[in-house]
Amino acid sequence: MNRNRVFLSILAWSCFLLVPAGAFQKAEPPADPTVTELLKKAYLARGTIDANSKKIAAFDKFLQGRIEATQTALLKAADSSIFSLKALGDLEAARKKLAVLINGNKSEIDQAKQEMVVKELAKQKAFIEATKAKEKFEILARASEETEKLFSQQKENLVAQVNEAAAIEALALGGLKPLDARQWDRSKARHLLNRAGFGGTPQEVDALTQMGLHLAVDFLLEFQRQPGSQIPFESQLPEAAQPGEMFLTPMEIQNREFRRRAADGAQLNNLKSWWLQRMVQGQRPLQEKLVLFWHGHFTSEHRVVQNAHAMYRQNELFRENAAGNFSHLLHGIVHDPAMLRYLDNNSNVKSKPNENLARELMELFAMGEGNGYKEKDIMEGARALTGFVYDPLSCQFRFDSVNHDFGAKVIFGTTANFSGDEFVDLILRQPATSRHAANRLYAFFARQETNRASVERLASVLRRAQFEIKPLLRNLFLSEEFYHPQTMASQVKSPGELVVGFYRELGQKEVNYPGLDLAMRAMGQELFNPPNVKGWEGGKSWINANSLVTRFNQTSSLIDRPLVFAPPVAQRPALTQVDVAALLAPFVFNSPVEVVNHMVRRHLAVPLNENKKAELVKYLGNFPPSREWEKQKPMVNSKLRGLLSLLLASPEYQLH
Amino acid sequence: MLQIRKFDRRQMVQYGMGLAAMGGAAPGFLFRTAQAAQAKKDSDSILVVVQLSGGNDGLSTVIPFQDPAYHNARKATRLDPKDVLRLNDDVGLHPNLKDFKGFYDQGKLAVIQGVGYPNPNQSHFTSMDIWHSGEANTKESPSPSATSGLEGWLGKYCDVAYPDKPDSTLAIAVGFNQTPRAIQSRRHGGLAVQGQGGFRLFGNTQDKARVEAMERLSKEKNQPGNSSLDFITRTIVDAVEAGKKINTISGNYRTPVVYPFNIPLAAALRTVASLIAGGASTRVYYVYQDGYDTHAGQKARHDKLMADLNQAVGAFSKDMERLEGGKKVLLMTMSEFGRRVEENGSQGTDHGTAAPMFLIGAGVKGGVSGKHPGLKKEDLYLGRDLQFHSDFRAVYATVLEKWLKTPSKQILGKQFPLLECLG
Repeated sequence: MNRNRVFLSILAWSCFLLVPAGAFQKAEPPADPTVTELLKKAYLARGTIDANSKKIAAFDKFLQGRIEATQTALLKAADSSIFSLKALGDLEAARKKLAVLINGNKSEIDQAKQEMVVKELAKQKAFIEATKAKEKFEILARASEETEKLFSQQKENLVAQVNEAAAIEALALGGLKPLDARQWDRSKARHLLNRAGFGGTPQEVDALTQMGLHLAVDFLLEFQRQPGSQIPFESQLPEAAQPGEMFLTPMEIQNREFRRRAADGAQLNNLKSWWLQRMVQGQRPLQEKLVLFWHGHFTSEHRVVQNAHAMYRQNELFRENAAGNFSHLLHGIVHDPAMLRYLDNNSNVKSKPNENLARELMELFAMGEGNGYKEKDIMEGARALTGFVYDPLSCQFRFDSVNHDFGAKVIFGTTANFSGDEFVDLILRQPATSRHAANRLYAFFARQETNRASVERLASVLRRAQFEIKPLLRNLFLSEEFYHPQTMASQVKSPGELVVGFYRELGQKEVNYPGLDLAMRAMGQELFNPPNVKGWEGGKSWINANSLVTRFNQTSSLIDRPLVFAPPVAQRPALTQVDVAALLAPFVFNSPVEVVNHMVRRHLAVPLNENKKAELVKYLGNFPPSREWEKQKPMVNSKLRGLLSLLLASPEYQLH
Repeated sequence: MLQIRKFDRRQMVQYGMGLAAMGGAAPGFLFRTAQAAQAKKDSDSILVVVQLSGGNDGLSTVIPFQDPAYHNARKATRLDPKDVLRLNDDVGLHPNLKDFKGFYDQGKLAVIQGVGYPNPNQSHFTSMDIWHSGEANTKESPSPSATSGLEGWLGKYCDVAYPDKPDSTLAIAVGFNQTPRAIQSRRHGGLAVQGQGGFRLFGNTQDKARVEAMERLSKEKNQPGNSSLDFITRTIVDAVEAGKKINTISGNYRTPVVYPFNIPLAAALRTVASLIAGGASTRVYYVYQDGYDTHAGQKARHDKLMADLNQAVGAFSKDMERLEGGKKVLLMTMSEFGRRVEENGSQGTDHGTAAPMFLIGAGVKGGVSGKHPGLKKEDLYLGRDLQFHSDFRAVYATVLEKWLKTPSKQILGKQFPLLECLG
């Protein structure tokens, strides 16, 4: 991956307007003027959306301030009234006292009279103050009401402008119809966080809700604005060959292979934990979600590659270009050592081409099976990719000119001495390519069942944005279709989404990652080891009789299992399990019903039948209010863990 | 059926326990199953499909050892004519298929040569999908997942032959994480189990109240209007029903036959044997052996695959001999395609087309049917791949009609000519 590409991939999508067509993307023919015009329109619309969204947020903040100020004034006025009422009461008491004393001692009567005068004065003073406060409050309230009205009106105008701009943008890019920003609510914010991330705590969902549609999508999509993960991974190359290599005995060679394998296996485990930790703790959830997507799309299996360092490099390729340019990913993948190993390209030589890489490049990575290429194109493409080799120990890409076929090839009916990269550019020019990528992204993020018309629109966005991925994702995440009732809570969670989502919803930061890996494997998704070159099939294929029971058992034992991986038995007290009570500390619960309602709202994207809720309440039984939890923490935590495991073993939890 | 009577009360309770978690009494269900199987005596034949995943090299399985073109094309992967287990003057089996040769000699092995379909597809997934669906011209699949949940040819068979009560255990895939398309049906679903089918909920928890709550929860209805949710719930119900059956029947299978250790296919076939011996009502079993995509260093890998296949199928057949002389069971092998005639540059072979299929069982009319496809350049499909002469759907039709006693036209879309390889 050259620096130029990495740099370009980091640039925001708007940059494609500034870069002359073809400057970084040979594949695209010079943009036609109407497309340029459309892109300009989209760009201006985006500007309006950005500016207005910020203004709207400022208005929201200001209005919030207004409301708070009004409330304070109201409280003050109320205080004064109370004061005056008290004074009135005192005066009444003094009068009564005077009446009692009317026949009594003169000096006492005088004293009472004097007292009454003082009280009378106090009353008058209090009354004046109360009146003043009331007037002040009324002025303030009136002003506030007017400001509010004015601001609301202005805000409405702004929102209308945003809606209009979003519609213009979508139209210009040929994309999906955007959602009316006024329809944004908590359930939609939650849906966005689930799909464009791995879900989150109620507080995180609230924050997204308050941002509004456009800022919320930006918050997730423009993830480069969030701090990157600081979790280091020092990947080691396989043990290098020794100087005296040729003098090693067969036994010594075998031992070295043994060491390499053991070190590689250990490195793979570290790599899995590292990635899982980024998913669970990172502040760029969409980036990691996209890495997972690309890993399932440009599949390589460690069990074939046998080199964890190469798998790590591939993982970073996906991360660098996660929402970058599809063209960079496609070029990157044919230079990627793990992929070259996985698809046998070292044995793809001029004298005997091996079609594996060329075939999967067309069938799975770029165009889709049977879409616009012939067997002949695969064979000729394979010739173009000859000489793209890697060195297994240094994990470096190398161009082996001796074995490269420099001859003429006929690909898609064009004859030339195509190189491997020119072959990739040719593929990018095929309409099937944008359609296939759009189809895969649509199935992963929106709906499993394909919708040709929508995919066509997303493909158009991808093409007009010259294969920048962000505009497509933005159009999708803003679309009406993305928030349609048939899209929300319709997808079966993958095992990764299931377990990572669980920890993110809970806000649990300390996680037994090797245990997480084991659970995911049992459920059928091992990171770095997809089942075959097609990756994970996803959707309903995750669910069968067997896998569901495995899901229930695995999530249950994740909750019960100690947080530290395999500690000595003596160090396994109940306290090392998830401390659910501590995670719920910011909330107050007065009854088991409140606990169940909170947990259901926290973890389920699908509404739960009232009878099921009642069963969960019944399970909690005689459960203390949260103020008493500290005293009986082991019992409370054990019940809360049980409640969690019941929720996770519900059909509802399998969906998001 | 004998096996079932042998189950004592304690075992039933033991195997039923894990499932009690989701309600229902196991023992009664089992006996009903046994009776149902008895009632269907006239058609209790069982089909076991062994899928050789990755594209098995037919030329290294049924070898045209006399053909010079074979030896010319296959410098690295060729087998020596003197090692080949000769079936006739032209073809012989891979040297490691010794038990297969034994079946052949007993007239229990039919070799159908040159099986394929028109306009062959050389994508693993599409070609496998074609074999699973039983439709040679599947529509272009718009999304990789678009075919999941669609019916397969054996699933359709279940629907046609058993139109009444849904039974998820009519077709079982053993060793699969996901139900393969071949056995998916509209009415019955089709079940995938990994190993011995252990369905035990919350296995490790000490919290009895949790298990009881789970049981009660599973009886409650869903909020209406979410089809994905209904799909999941239906699957859970299936899991419980199937778990009851499989746990009880296969839980403690005893057999004098020793299955080879460490061969996944053998373990899967042992589970199949246990279910058959236990009198399960299952009519179709689906198992697979992986690793046939031999693009590089094929010889050693393929030799090992053949040895494993031979051992696993050999043990299974011996085990089935114990039950009515193996008359109940027919075993069929298939692969998504064969491999290219010419080798590639890495002592391997790329994706090809036609390949042989095996049928094994007491009901088989043994022999070699069909000619070996020609290897001369002019005989090859597009000058590089073997030309098929038997449509795989003709083999399916033969199995459906002659073995499973079910009309094939409705399942395969049209009537294919039946082959002679079954009685």
